[in-house]
Amino acid sequence: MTRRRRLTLAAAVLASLGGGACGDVDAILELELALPSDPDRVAVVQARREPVGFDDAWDASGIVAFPLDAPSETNLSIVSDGDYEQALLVRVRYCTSAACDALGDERAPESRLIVERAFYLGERTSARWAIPSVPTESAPAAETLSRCDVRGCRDGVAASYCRTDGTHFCE
Amino acid sequence: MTMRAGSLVCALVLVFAASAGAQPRVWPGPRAEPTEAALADARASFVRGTELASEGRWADALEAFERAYARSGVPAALFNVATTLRSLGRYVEARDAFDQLLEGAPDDADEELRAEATRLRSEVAARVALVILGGVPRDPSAVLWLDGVRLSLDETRPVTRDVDPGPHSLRLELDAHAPWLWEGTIEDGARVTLEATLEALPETRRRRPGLWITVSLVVAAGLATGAYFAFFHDRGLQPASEAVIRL
Repeated sequence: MTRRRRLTLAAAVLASLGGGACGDVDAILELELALPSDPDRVAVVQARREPVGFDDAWDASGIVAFPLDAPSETNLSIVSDGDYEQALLVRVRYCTSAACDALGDERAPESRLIVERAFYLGERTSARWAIPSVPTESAPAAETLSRCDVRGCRDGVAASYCRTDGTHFCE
Repeated sequence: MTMRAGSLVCALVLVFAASAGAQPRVWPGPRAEPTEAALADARASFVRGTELASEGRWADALEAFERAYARSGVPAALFNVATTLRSLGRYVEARDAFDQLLEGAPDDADEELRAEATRLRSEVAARVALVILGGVPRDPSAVLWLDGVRLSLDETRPVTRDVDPGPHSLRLELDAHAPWLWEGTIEDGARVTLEATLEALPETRRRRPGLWITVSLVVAAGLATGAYFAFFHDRGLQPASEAVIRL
């Protein structure tokens, strides 16, 4: 099959799937990542929901890699389709390959973040995680981000994104 | 000109003469001065590669040597990449690696290493075969595959490619034509000239209005459905970033 024919058929299939391909997602956390510099490494980011723990084996799915040529601010969208109340676990491994599968990457240093609650059905939330330097440990203690620090459902500056009764504005 | 410089020039001339129709492969070294940790990792990879090579595990050894070079930029690591490729019978890549070594190594590099690289480069280059393919139209719809890998075609005709000796296949596709196929075994250092012949498909096979009507209807229906969902049904959430993780 020639390129033109493949492109035509691909366009047809994509168009026919238009409703589904452009469909909604249920909840998104826009995570702003401030990453340190280490030109010899790449930041390999993964996320999971509890009850998965940091000490469990995470398969290689859902990997996003960022070069660390210089200290940088980067954005990552984490999309959830259920289990919104479960805590979100994010880890950044500092590997020598983008797939984090090179020799020695199994002992790569790591940064860990727990977001107490990141997702609300139909809402876009956001949070910032600043990592000042590449850690030395491969299994460090996790930083925790409170549900009230997760921005969303309220415009402008807020001291907290929770009401006085502790519920989030997105709830 | 010294003998060493002469050898290097000869090697470079051979590069341009023999790297037919495709960019030579390049092995990346470190982007900056390697750190102590990077050098330690490179040393470990080099030692590991040597062990694997002694066990005949060439593919694994190649990976280790490539890593050692990527982390350190040390010529000896690239030399081992080249010799490992030679042991794997991947002579085109071995030649490219030797060329990179000879071109990039500083003048004060190990004289013995350079001499051995020059000798082996000549040996593997002599084993690289050349395929010369005529009959490839300068048509944007022309697609040429070599051993299942699509080749990037420029305007140069005939199309030429360096190949390792052994069995190979070629397939040329062109709109409204039956594909041209070739399979055969190419000997060491051979120069194989082929002529692709493309036969136009009969008019009835070329024009298939039913197919295009069907495709058009499917496209129209898909677009209408997409537009409905996009503008009337729900303006759902979409990730704001290009980097997305889906749980």
